[in-house]
Formats: sequence, C-alpha cells, structure tokens
Amino acid sequence: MLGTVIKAELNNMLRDKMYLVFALYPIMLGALGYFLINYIEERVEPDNLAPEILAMFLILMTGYIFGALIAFTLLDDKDDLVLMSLKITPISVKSYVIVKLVVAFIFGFIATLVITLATDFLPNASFWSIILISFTGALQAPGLTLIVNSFSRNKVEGFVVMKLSGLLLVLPVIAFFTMNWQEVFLVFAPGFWPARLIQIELLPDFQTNFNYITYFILGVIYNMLFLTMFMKIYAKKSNL
Amino acid sequence: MVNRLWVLVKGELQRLNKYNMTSVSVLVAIIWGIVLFFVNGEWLGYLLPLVLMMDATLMAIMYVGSVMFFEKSESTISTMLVTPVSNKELVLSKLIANTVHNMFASALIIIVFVFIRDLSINYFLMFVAIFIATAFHTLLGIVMAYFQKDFTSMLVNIMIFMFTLGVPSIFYSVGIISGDVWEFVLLFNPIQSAQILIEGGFKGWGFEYDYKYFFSLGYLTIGGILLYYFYALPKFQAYAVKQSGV
Amino acid sequence: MFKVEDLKYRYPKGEADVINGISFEINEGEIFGFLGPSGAGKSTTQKILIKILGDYRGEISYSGKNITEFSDEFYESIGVSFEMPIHFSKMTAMENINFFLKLYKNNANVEELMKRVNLWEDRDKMVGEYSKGMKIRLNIVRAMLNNPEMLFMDEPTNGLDPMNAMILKDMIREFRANGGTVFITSHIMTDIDQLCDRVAFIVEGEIVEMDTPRNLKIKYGKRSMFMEYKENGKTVGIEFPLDGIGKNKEFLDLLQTKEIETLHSGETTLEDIFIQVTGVALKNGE
Repeated sequence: MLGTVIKAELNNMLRDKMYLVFALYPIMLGALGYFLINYIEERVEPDNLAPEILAMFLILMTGYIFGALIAFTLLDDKDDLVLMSLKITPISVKSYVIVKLVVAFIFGFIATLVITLATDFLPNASFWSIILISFTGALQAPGLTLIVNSFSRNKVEGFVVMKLSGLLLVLPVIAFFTMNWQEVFLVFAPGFWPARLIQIELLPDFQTNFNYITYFILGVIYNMLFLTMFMKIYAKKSNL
Repeated sequence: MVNRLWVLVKGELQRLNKYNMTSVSVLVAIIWGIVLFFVNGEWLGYLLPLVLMMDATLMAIMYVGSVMFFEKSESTISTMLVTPVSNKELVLSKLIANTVHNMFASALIIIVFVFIRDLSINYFLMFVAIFIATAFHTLLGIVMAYFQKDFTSMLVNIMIFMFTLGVPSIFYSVGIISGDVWEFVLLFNPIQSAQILIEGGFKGWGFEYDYKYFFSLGYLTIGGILLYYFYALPKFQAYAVKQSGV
Repeated sequence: MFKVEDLKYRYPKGEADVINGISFEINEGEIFGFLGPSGAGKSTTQKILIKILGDYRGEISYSGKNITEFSDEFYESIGVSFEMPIHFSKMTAMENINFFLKLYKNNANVEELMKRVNLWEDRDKMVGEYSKGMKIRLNIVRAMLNNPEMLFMDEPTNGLDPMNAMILKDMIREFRANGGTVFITSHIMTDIDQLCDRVAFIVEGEIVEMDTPRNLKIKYGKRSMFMEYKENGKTVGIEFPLDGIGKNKEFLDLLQTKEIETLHSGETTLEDIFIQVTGVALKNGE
C-alpha cells in the first residue's frame, strides 16, 4: 500500500521539474557559496566571522528551501482535493504526508551533503562530522513543511508563514555570538543544532556549553520532538 | 474607474490582512530588531540591501503567484470576470496592492535598521527603488502565473529564475565575473537593476549615481510599462479565460 | 433580448470548431433552457454570451446592440450564477457581498435576498464554514446583487436540497414575472421542465432541437394511450392509438368492464427526449 504512494511520488519526481531544481540546487548554491566565501575571506579581517556565518547560512538554507518546496506541494494537494480523495482510500493521509516529509528530508540531506563536501565549507571537518551536520540540517526540511502546513489553510497564508519562518534561519546566526546560558532562547529553532555543530567545526577555539556529540544527540532528540509535535498539530488541524 | 480600482485595491489589502500579512510584517521587523540589538557585527548592515532586494524581487513574484493560484482554487477570479471591472483594473489592483504592502513591510524593516544601526538612507530614492522594483516583479509574477499549471511548478520556475538571474548578479557585484561584456549583459537583468536601485537608496555608501543607475531606473520603469501593456495585460486576459474552466 | 446568429467558435489551439454555426433567440421575459451532454458546447456558448470568450465568428446582439460594442455597462445589466463556489472563504458572507456590491452601480436589497435564501442568520459566518448548499445559495445572491435584467445560471439547483431548490425556482419565476430574462444550462430535466418557456438541445456544437417543453413532448411522444388493467389477478398492459380513441371499441370495452390500474397518454418526459435527441444526433455524427 505504502509502496503505491512511494511509487507515485517517484513518478512525480521524474516528471516534475521541481526535482530538477532539487538536483541543480546543490550545484548552483555550491558554486555561489564557494566563490562568495572565498571572496569575502580575502577581503575581511581574519577575525571577522562573516565568511563562517555565510557558510553556515548556506548549509542551513538547503534544508529550509527543500522544506518550503515540499510544503507548497502539500498545500497544492490540499487545494486539488488530493488529500480528501486519499481519505477514502486504504492508504492513510498520514502515511502520504509522512512519505512527503521523508522525501523532503532525504533530498535535503543529499543536497546539504553535496554542498558541504563540494565547496569545502567546513575544511577541518571529517566526513562523518559532515554527515551528522547534514543529517541535523536536513531535519529542518520536514519541520518547515509541517510548520507551513499547520499554520496555513491556503497558499497565500502558506507564503506568509514561510516568510515568517524564514527568521528561524536568523536565530542560528545569533548562536555564533551567544555561548553562555542565553542559548536556551535559541534551542527552539531547529536550525540551532546543526548551527552549533558547524560552529564547533569552524571555530574549534570557541567554548561551548556541551561537546559535539552531545549537541548532535540533543539536536536529533529535539528535532524529533519538534516533528512529532507539529505532526500532531497538523493532523489535528487538517482532520487527518 | 478610479472608484472601482480603489474598491479592488482595498479588497486586496483587506484580504492580505486576513491572511495575517500585516502582523507577520510587523513581527518580522520586530525580530530583526531583536537580532540587530543582540548581535554585533558591522556585516549585519550589509544585510539590509539584500533583504530589501529579496522582498522586492523574489517575494513580490511569489506573493502575486500565491494570490493568483489561490483565487483560481477559490474560483473568485471567475466571478470577477462578470463584474463591470475590467482586466486592466484587476491587474492594476494586484500591482498596487502588492507594491503597497511590500513598501509597508520594507519601511518597517528600514525603520528598525535605522533606529538600531544608524544607517543613512535617502528615503526618496529608496521609496522610488522599492516601488519600481516591486511593481516590475509583480508584473513578472502575473506573467509567470499564466504559464504554470499550479503554484508548485511556479515556485520551481521562480527558483530557476532566481538562480539564473540572481547568481550572476551577485557574482558580478563581488567581482567573480567581470568585464565589459558581462557589464553590458547584466544591465538587462531585472534583479541586477533592482539591486542597483536599492543600493542607490543608501547614499553615503560611496555610491555614485552613474549611467548604470539611470539605466536601471529607466529599464525597470519603461520595461515595466511595456511588460504591463504588451505582456501582463494580454496574458491576464488569457489567464482569466483559462481559469473560468476553458 | 439576445440574438445569436450563425455562431461559430474554435479554441485557439483547437483543430475543429466546437460551435458549428448555431442560431437562436432569447426573448425578453422568458426562461430559456440550454441543454446538452457534457462537452456539447453548452458552457462554451454561455461563456461567449457573457463575453468571457471573444474571437468567435457570427453575430450576437443584446438589446439590439452587438455585444462587442458594450463595455462595462454590459456587466451592470447581467448576473451570472456559477456552479462552483466563488467566494473568498476567509471572509464572511456579508464581507464578500459588500465587496462585490461596490463594483456595481445598481445595488439590490441584500437583506431581502439573503433572507429569501435563508442565509441572513449566517451572514457573519466565514464562507469557508458554509456547507455546499449554503455556498450555492450565496452564489445566487451574488448573481442578483446588481438587480440584473438578465440572469445566466449554470446548473442552478445542483447541490441544493428539494426545499431550497424550490425556493430558488420560485425566485427565478418571480424574476421573470418582474420582467427579467433567464438563460439556464442544466442536466436536471425536471427543473427545466418546470421552469423553462423554451429549451434548446445542443449536441456537438449544433442545435438539434428548439421549442417549448410542451411542444417537444408532443412531438417526441407517441400518439398513443397505454392502459394497465387487472385480469384473473394479473396485470395486463395494452396500447391504443390516440387518434380516434373515443370510438375505439376495444378500448371503451376494457374501460367499462375491467378494473383499470393505470392509464397514460404516450407523451414523453424531457429526460427521454434528451436521451433520444442527443443519442440520435451522436449516431448521425459517426
């Protein structure tokens, strides 16, 4: 049963131009970031954090953009009454939504990984560390999909929510400047966790409250809680 | 005509308010305020032109697209077609409403930046820049919506659009690509033009109002008018017919 | 009111005409039914009449003037009721109505209209919370907002319960009684039968039949009388020609001696005519 959903989604991928963007995105953004960061690095003082922040921003943005795209396909499905017609099939709407979320995550993960590896954004990081960062970064994608769909009932509202949630990308930037207890205010942004991991890799001298692996584990736990909570809100709001 | 247009614009803005656009704009400005307050770093000031440019280009296209596809799914466009309202008024009302709301949202962010970061801004030129850039890209959005079957595919095209036009523009401004040929080619890039106009609004950043500034100004203004008369208006007519189920 | 002469239409990318030279006239103060199977050209014709589709060939005049010569004032004088919901779901019914109202010079009495379709109580509810039937009733209010002289109604009773369908039919009749003209497309033949003064059947872009429902029923009905009576506990059916029935001995005998169960003249329903007319024409087209 679930196989049918996955097959339909795969079919869509081959037909849909969106997946072309998914495929091209890492290349374009990677190229952009590579040149831009080198350019800035050559021009700013060595202790200026701008290149590091930009690198982090680009890594985090990937999960975010993939989440936004999937969010709008889900809103489109709602308008086309696809969700309604799924309700009267043996497949639950929930599993359809979950497949979409997983697709957002997997593509986000691959794209983040490719970008980070290809551009050498994190020159000192090991391969495994980059995998962990991509993993937590890509968790934002299903998160954003759920946020947009939980708080909007149509495309225009979806657009508004997306614009607002774009600020979730700004919070991790503050993380670069906040090391002490103040970070409790930032942990709510799903992107905070990959941001910390990136920061530890980029600026090993910085004192952080926890070590790398603790941030990773906490990040995965938090994101899972976040996803579960918004899945519940979404399911409740759309009567799944 | 003027009276009806006003009714339409007011309707668009009222709906926007219902979709929480106003409160979100205020919230966005407040969060920028908090970020600017807590985070030090000269580089944050450089973010403002980028944010304003994104709002006036990418966001303007996306917004009008989302509205048009939403009206399609609500079929309200069909009933608008059988009122005395002309297509011209419909396109203009979208154009005005989108431009007004983006100028409002941009104004809030500018105020926050100026208040906390003491930037110097030429308000008149900034007004002109955001007005022209938003109006131009809204028209572009209307045309793009015409060619797409749903909002998702429109989003995909917007992404492609941003990458093909936005990336070269950024590359050029940081000197990765250079030379007379590129300079000439990029003059015809609306995102580049929007960027030049918005940068022009920050006087005191050593900006010279050279031929590129005036070219961009003319390009977006005249281009916008041509786009309106020869592309957006006829396409909207066809779009409207298509939406009525043909 | 409306005069259509030799109307032809082809979609911009179409290979053949979808409307093949139809001509008809809608008289002032009549309810005109436009019937036909899906894809026959019903809605295309309606869209041409309400000036959503241009680029047609042929002549269409409204109140004696070519419709291409009209501008805004055309829409001031017509009302269109759509089959699908057409309101902003995030606004209340009244907010929707007030918005559309301001686009017209003529304004109808909204309270009266809303009360008539039983929506006045729910006027401050979001349209998104309305049921399907309520949305359709709101569509009708929307169509009549500008006190139109002519109404176009697309499947007006589709989705309405019998009670509300009756209210709507009464409203349409009243509209005619006050001098209004109505153009209806529908699949629901009983509605058409009850409402329309004249109907036209369109099949594959051509009008194959046009007359009053009564005349059509006579034309397509058999001139016969069908009788069912009881004989030895069983029902027996027998058919007699209608001509000279008063002198038909067998008929009169049965009438006097048997227990009659049913007695029907062979007039047909609009539904049968629909199937017959559209079916025949489809066969000819092959």
